[in-house]
Amino acid sequence: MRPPAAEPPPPAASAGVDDAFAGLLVEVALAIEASVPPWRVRLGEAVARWQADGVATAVLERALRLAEPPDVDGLLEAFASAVARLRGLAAEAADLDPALAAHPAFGDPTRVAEAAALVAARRAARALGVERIDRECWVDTWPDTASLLVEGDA
Amino acid sequence: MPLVNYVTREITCKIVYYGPGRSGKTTNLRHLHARLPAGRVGQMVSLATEGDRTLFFDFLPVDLGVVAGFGTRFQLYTVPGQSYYAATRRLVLQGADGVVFVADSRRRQLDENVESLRDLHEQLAAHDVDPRAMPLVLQYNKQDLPGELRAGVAELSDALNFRGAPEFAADALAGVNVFETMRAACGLVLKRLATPAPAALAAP
Repeated sequence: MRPPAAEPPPPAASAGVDDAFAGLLVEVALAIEASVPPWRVRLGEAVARWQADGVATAVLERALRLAEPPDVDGLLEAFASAVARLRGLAAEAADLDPALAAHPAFGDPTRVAEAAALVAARRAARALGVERIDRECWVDTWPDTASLLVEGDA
Repeated sequence: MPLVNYVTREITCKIVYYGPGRSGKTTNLRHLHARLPAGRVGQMVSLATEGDRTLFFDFLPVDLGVVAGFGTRFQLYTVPGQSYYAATRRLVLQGADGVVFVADSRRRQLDENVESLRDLHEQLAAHDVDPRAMPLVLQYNKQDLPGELRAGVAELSDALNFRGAPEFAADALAGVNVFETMRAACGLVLKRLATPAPAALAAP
C-alpha cells in the first residue's frame, strides 16, 4: 500500500527550513554510514596516502572497482611490501646512477621486477666498467676494451 | 548511481526535476535556492530562458559539506517541459541518480502530466535505464488552487503514481513541501549507494 501524500502544512511550517536542513544532514549521514562499504573506504584512504607519496596506485584503484570485497588486508600488505622493495631498489639505483632512480618503475609496485632488472643491469654494467647506462639499458659510454683482449699465441 | 570517489572522499548525486511545462520545476529550485542556508547552495544557473520558461535547463548545486566523512553534493537540474524539447530532456536526464516528477495539479493539465510521465520513461529507456529502478518522487504542485480547478491528490496519485513512490502535495510558489520533496529524493538516491550497480534494461 502506497504511503499517503504529505498534505501541505500551514505556511508557517516552511519557516523551519534550517531545522529541516539539519534533519537532512542527519539523514544523509546515516545513509552514507549505512551504505558505504568500509572496505572501499579503507582502500580509498590507502590510495590517497600512497598517491601523496608519489606511488602509482592503479592496482588499488582496480580493486576499488570490484563488485565484491577483495582481501583488503592482504592486498594492502602486499602493496606496502612492494613499495618497500621498490624504495630499496631506488636507493641502490641512486647509488649506482642518480638518473636511473628517477625511472617510473621505481614508483610503481606493479613494476618491481622491471625495477630490479634495471638495477641489476646497472650493477652488471658497473662491474664491467661501463660508465653510463640510460633508462632503456642502452650503454652510452663503453669502456676501453683493448686491455681486456687476450691474444692467442700465434 | 551516485558518484562516489573513495580517494577524494566525495559523493555527488544528480537529481532531475521532470514534468510538463509550467508545472513549477524551476519554482522548486528557486525556492530551494532562496531558502537553503547560505554557503550550502551555489548560484542557480538558468540557461536560455525566455518569458520565465526554461528552454534548456536550470542547475542548482547544493553542497552539504562533509557528511560522515564524505564531501556530499547534490546537483539539481530541471528540464524544459515542452514536448518539442525532448532532445534536451534526454541530455539533462543522462546520468541522473533520481527524478522528482513535478505534476501540475490543474485539472485541465492531467493529460499533460500523463504524457510527461510517459516521456520520462521513454527518455530513461533511451539511456538504457530501467524506469522502475530510478528513484522517483512525485510532487503534485499547485494544490493551493481552488478545488474546482485542480485535481485532488488521490486523483493524481491514481493517474501517475502506479509505482507507489513517495508523493507530496505542494505549493511551490509558497514553498510548501518543496524542501520535503527534495529531502525525500535525496534519501532515495542515497539508498542506492548500497546497491552494487544500477539496473539496466534487459536486452530484447
